Amino acid sequence: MRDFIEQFGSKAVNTFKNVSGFCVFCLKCLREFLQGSFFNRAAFDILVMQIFFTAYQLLNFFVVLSAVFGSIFIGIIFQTVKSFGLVQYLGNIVMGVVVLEFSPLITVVLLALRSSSAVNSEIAVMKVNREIDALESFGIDPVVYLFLPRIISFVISVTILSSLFAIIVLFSGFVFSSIIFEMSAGIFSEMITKSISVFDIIILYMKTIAFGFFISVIPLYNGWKTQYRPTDIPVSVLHGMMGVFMSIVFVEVVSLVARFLLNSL
Amino acid sequence: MSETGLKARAAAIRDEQRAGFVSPDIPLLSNLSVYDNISLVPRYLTTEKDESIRAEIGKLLDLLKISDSINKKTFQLDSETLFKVKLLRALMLKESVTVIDRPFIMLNTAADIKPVYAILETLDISDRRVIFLDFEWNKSKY
Repeated sequence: MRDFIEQFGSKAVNTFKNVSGFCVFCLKCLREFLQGSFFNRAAFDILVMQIFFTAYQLLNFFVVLSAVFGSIFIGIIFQTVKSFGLVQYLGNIVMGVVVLEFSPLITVVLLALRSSSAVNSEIAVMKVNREIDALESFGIDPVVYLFLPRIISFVISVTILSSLFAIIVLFSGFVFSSIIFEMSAGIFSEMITKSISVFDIIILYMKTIAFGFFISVIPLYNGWKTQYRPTDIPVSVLHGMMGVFMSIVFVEVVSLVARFLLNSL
Repeated sequence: MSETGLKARAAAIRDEQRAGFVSPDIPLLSNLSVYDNISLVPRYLTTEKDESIRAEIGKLLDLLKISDSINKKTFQLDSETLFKVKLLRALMLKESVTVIDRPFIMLNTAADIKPVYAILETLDISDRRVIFLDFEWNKSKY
């Protein structure tokens, strides 16, 4: 019994330390953001480079993926809507399912797989090689120089790429609606605009910002907390990616609850 | 001095005043070029213009005859060039002490301290205080 209590207590203390450490890290990043530290020219260069790596380098692949995946998905939805006779709900289904839920989710999963893992391992390697210590010894704050530009670039990238995905899917929707339902562009756009509220747009962008924040700050924190041992790098990436997955689920659930509550008002 | 003593002394200097460290424990950033490693300190800490920083670094690299390495990454450099780049980065902290920590670990082919003195003389930094930290058993090399 005593062993059980000790183990439980030890786990509780470790979890509390991890959570409080993470919160302190987030607050420090937020404070530097509010102080505008990323306008430091060395940090700003990193910000531009990170947007290039995270969003621009992915752009061609992302456009093709959105067009192919989005078209197939919207084609299946339209066929289902037609077979169940739910044409009057087409706008709600396209906006509610595809644009507000599917676009940010696909974008964030793609960016998490591609960039979050890269950032986690990059920072962990820098920590193990004592490169972060080197920065600190010269008076360069790693939060300002390394972490903040990456967080901002992820937020910008997720928001822009989600919006791009939504635009491409809506265009596919227009093409499919004209083929399957022989719907004109005017009717399609009217149906889409009627089925979306300002709250939906606000929640969509708050969600993309939250996604961008969590899929960058969690890997950064895990990379930064890596011990000075090369064997800790895969452990750090493992914990980071698990955290990223949990955060995606968490943000998705919170946004769904928020949408449900706001729509039922 | 023992290794623990060296680390304590290094920490004391760091706490006392801003010091530019040239140390085997303080590496260059592996994803940056030689120029970016050296220019990072003034670009982050000062408001000096980029053109002026580039000109100054270009001049120092010319003096040390390593200007062909300006765009190279650290893994492409030999130990002597790495040492020179670390020294230039440390010198970018203006009006500070420069600490050269265990130089024979970084310059593992040097028989004595003369090559380091030669580099310091080339750079003409007589106004700068340079502190060497090393093990007791390397005393004869100075």
